[in-house]
Amino acid sequence: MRPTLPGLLLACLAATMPPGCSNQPAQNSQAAGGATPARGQRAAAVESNPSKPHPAGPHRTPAAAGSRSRQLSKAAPPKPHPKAPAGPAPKAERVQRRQTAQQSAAALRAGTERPPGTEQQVGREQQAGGEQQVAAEHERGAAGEGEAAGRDSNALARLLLFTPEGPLLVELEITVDGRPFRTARQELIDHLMRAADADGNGRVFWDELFDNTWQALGRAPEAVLLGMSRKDFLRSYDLNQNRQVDADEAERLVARVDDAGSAFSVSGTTRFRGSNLYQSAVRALADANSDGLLGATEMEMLPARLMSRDANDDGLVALDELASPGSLMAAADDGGYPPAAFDCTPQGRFDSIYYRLAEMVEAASGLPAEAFGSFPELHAALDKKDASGLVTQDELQGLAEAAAPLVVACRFSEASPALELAEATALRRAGATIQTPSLQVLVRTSTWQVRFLLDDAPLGYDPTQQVEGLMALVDTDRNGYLTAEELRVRPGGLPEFKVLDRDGDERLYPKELRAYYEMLVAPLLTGVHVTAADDRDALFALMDSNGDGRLGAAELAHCVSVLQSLDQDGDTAVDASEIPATITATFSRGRGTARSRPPLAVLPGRPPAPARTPSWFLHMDFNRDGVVTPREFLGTPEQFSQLDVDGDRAISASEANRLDAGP
Amino acid sequence: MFHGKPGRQLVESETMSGRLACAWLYAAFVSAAACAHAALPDEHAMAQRVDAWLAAGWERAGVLPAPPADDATFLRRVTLDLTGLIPTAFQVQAFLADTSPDKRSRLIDELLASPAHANHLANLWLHMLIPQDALSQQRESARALQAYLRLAIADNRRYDVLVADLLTATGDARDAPAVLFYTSRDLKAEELAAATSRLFLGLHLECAQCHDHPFDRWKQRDFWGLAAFFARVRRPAGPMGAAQRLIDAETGEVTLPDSNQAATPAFPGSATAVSATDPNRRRLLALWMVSRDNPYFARAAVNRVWAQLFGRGLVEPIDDLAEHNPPSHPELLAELAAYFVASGYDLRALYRALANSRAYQLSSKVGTVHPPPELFASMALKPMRAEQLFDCLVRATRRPLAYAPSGELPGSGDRLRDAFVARFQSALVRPGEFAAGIPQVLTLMNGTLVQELTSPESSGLLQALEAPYLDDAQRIDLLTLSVLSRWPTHDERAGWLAYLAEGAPSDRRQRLADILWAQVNSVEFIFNH
Repeated sequence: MRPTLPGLLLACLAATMPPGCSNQPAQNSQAAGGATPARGQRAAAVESNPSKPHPAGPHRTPAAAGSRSRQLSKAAPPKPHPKAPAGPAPKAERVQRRQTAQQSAAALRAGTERPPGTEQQVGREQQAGGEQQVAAEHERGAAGEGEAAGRDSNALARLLLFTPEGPLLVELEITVDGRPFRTARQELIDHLMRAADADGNGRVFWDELFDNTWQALGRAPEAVLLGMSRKDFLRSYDLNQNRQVDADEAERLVARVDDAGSAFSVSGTTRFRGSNLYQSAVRALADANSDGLLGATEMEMLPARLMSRDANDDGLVALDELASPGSLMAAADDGGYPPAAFDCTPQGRFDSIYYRLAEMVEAASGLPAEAFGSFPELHAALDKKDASGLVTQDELQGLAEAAAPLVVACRFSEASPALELAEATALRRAGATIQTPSLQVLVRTSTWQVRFLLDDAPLGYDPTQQVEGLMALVDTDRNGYLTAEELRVRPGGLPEFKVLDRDGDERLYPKELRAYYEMLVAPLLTGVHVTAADDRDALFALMDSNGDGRLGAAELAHCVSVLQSLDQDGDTAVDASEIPATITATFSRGRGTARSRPPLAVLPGRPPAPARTPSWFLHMDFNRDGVVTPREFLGTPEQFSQLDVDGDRAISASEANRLDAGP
Repeated sequence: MFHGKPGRQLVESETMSGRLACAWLYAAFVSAAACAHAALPDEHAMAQRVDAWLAAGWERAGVLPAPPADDATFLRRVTLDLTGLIPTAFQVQAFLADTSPDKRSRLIDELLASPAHANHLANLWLHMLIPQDALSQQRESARALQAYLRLAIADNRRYDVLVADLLTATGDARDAPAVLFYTSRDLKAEELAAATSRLFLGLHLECAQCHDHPFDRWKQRDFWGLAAFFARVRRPAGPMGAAQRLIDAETGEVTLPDSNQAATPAFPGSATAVSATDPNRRRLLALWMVSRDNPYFARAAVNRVWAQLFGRGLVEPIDDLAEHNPPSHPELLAELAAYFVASGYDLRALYRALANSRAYQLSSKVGTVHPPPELFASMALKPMRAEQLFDCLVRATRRPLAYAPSGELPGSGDRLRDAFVARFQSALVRPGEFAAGIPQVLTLMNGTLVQELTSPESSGLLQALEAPYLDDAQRIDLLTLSVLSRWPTHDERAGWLAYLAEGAPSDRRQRLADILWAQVNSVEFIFNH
């Protein structure tokens, strides 16, 4: 047989495999495409790495995992991550990579490709040892380079944000509890497949999944069916109609559960573009003489006027307390406006981006530089292949790899969430200012401001409290565990005892219950969502420095200087044209926008209270603005002064902590 | 818009309120010339007049009034009446510690100027103006109307302008939220006539809808004459998706029942002719309604405000100011109405005058002999409305406010609140009345909300009271201050401290919770006394 290029590469690379790989489980039946053994190996690698916390809890059976491999149809050659720099990989490999990249780009658009993150993970595991096919091999190379460059491509995403002056390309580095976000979601999908594969034959049929929904997803079959009949459901979800659960189908399912969303999604509207300056309720309130200008006296009077609208008497001013009656009604209607941001990862809809840009300049056969507004370098980067001056729809795909002027790092974590600036040199050179208050990145030019905000409260409840409540309710003999008899009532839609009792010892301890709840919320906790939308009221957004949607005492005290800083032409008055348009891009998990928050949840823009913050303080802070004011305080004025060490008439969490840590 | 600033704007104004203001100015000029010798009383003087008239009634009946209410009772009562909320522990302590002699009158002024007052009045008016089912089905429009009323009251807009604007509301709900008054009644002329006469004139004209009124002076043609003013209100279907606008059509009549005869518009009880040529009938009605020709308007308004503060109107029921139902103090009602008109229909002035009276500040404690309630010899026990009870419960026990960037206002939707309120209402109970049967009592004693608010793990107040710098005596004090808005009496404190001490230390938190539960279920909490 004539040696093929892949075969040659195989031979070369086999010779260069690092030692210690031979203990990898054998790669059994190669299905079409190189991803099959990779997936089995990845599962094995995950299994054999006990330090990695598994989202689904301690119920894996390590023995079975390694011997299974998953047959996945339509596993087209995976696409390398766009950001992997062309480092030390051999040239042949680069050529091959480019070819497979083009193939998989086509496959991606056909909707049958798995996301790049999975391939990268495969590559990493294979570094620990494993066999290779070409597809897997260049992944390893790419992944190795990615790591060498210091960024795990499983953690990368990007979006295109439409500022009033043009599209801003933003790259994101996102981790969940320290791990790349795609990893977390992929592990969940792996768990789902393993749990559903009841007969252990490496293939998961949809019927098998429906028989094992409790183990796989922690939900009843009806919840998984999303209200449809099985037939309708399969018509929608079994994309290739082969009655098996393929990787992409599993992903779609997990994304639909609880409206968790896929691993990365973007939404938001430009509904208030422009109107948030001219119809700003704050501006109307401040402009006492209705002459369109905010003069010095009007600015001075604004804090008192704002406070006079605190209708629910909670010490904070929210936008609805200020909004005019008509705008209260209008706020409900949200349809028909173009989005403010688009997903720019390889899964993004580049045709939508193209149309959006094209309609702004009425372009016919390609996008000229003016479509990109004040970001001409983006146009140049996309057009560089043929330098024709027009960016075609194909060239627009380059958005997935072009250099981004802004890189933001987003870390979801219960204890220490963070939103940080990673890179903004190009923006700074162009004259933008960047500020990074806690959990925010603020990018500001003279005409617009974008606020990136971390708002991580995906659950409407606290799983620990849920478990405690359940134990208190059901554990009638108070012996610290539940028996099948005690759980006979099964409150709150819990599954059967034997499903919960993973270790089969006929006792249900709180940790097993907690594992169940964690599995229940795992889809939500692994679906990163960015909502980028114009703020309803630009002035309000500018004054709301912590981004929680309410103006507190500190922000009100500061609002006069915020207004003064807007005056650009030095006439000490601010008119509507001097107010920058504001956009807020909120990072959250799960797509549910109207999710209710547990009473003491983290609020947007505010880091969680220090871990040891006493519960009495959290409850005394009635309006949850982070401090206890004299109005909220329970005790004598002397006790207040003793606690208020810095004398700012507000007791902070750290001042409360000092008391507890005291003598 | 007329904001109480007469001037250039009025003459040039094309709006309803502009024309009204012109009419008012003219009328004011005429009547000022006629009554130039009569000085306008200020609020404190009016308060004294109120006391004088009531005292005359007590003397005639040989009744002794109750003693004055103490500071804590007064604070709770006036805060509830004017803002719909109980005072916080901080406010109670501050007010009780204040020794200035005019603190009560200053408190009244502060409360009237607070945004919570505007919110509370807006809620009261919303429930008064719009039928209950429309409120629950058209939440967005109701919210917009509440915001509109809240802004108007915060600006202290004149009452006559407010009513006139309401009656002539035109356009779509976004521009004129007040059209909900019409759309919630499906633009039916007879319902609009009944509501208008009841709410703004204090007349039960709807009894004359099908036949002449059985014992009052109203004839069928009076009712339908009023209904005729609403005969031309239309909401034509526009292009798909366009908001429906309320307009006044050129033609349209209502007919008397069982006849083809069109009813001619006629002001009830008035001989004033209605212009036959003016196409805008609603405007004509609004002009007459707020004019001095109309003896009912001011009296009905004053009676409502009196009922809100004193627990019953000078005329009871408050929307039946008929000849067969005379007021308990006719001269007082007439004087208050004249005062209200002379002050420029200033609602705040009216509230100030009534709240500063000694009669408003009487205790509600009566001896063994209960004087008739219409003498106002003691303050009536006013049950809290269900929504108010919910809001006070969560405020007293510090249930953390639901975080919503839009700022949940007391009075807005909240599923737990709706469920709680629904239990307290039934079809038989008038909106705003307190139903006190077994289901309601059980809800309070055992319902989920109260359990959540009073159990040691989930109650905000109890968790806050665990602060280490507090001792048990202070905890009892702060608990009582938060819930009952007063310091505990000596005996209460001793008794509760003993109760806390007699259990095991691990039981202490549960015992404190028990005390909280008992206070929340007490009559002292549930009623506005």
